[in-house]
Amino acid sequence: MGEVLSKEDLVREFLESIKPALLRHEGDVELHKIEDNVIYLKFNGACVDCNVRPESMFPMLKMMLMNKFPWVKDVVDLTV
Amino acid sequence: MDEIKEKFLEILEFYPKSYAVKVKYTPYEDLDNIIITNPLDYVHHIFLPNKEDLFRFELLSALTVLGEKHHLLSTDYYDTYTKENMYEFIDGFSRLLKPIRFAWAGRIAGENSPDADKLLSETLKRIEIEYLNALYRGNRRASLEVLPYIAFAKGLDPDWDFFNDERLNAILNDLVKADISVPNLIKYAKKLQRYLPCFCSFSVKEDPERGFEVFSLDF
Repeated sequence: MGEVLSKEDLVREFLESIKPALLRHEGDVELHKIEDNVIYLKFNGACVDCNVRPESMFPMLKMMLMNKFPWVKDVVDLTV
Repeated sequence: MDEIKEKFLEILEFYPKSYAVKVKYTPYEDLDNIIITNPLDYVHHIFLPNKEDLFRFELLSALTVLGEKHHLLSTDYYDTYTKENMYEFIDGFSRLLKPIRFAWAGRIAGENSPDADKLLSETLKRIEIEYLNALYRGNRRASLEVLPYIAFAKGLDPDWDFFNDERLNAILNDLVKADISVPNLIKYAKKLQRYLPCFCSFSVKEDPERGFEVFSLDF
């Protein structure tokens, strides 16, 4: 019987799969927490000051996560 | 096959001149080949996969909705030198048209597909792949590169706002509801010019020699 992964593990695994694309732009993303099926993300590196993150990267990542994991109610960007 | 021909003719009926639709056998076992020609015999080859392959079927349908004919016609107004230099303008103009055609094709697909939910889910997967590819290519505005697919998904499911940019969401919301017509194509292309690079102005003019409408690009 295979190992049962937690929601956090599944999301982290997914984020790992897209990180190489972000690293091409010297950016990164990490899972901060999952609470009430809401995923909280924090972007690092070049993504922090990237002016297209709110219009481009974040909504795309949100769409991917909500499409991949039906239990996700929302995705929140905590990057300051 | 007659049903498919009818659907294509329905999509194409707003063209200024009639198209002829011919169905031919091809060496591809799983494909039917539809050839569409306009009065000047500019030819579009459209390979129709089996109906079960919904995503490809609808995306290929999208290519016939608008633009390709005008794209081809617009190139032969100029001498060789000008033609070489205008390719980038035609390319920019095509980038503007593509999301519009795809949005309308998505709406047609949503209304006619036996399984629109599956089509939407396949479209979202496609968006994901194309988006990551664009990021790998170094495009920081990768979401605009996948705008045609987003527009297609929006056509399938209008209750779906993708962008954080309210103005762009509003354009897409209006676009998917708009009548399919050349004036609307121009209207929305001008609105999208704010987001997609196209450094020329454009309009629809009637060609006095040929007697039908073409796109005119001014740069």
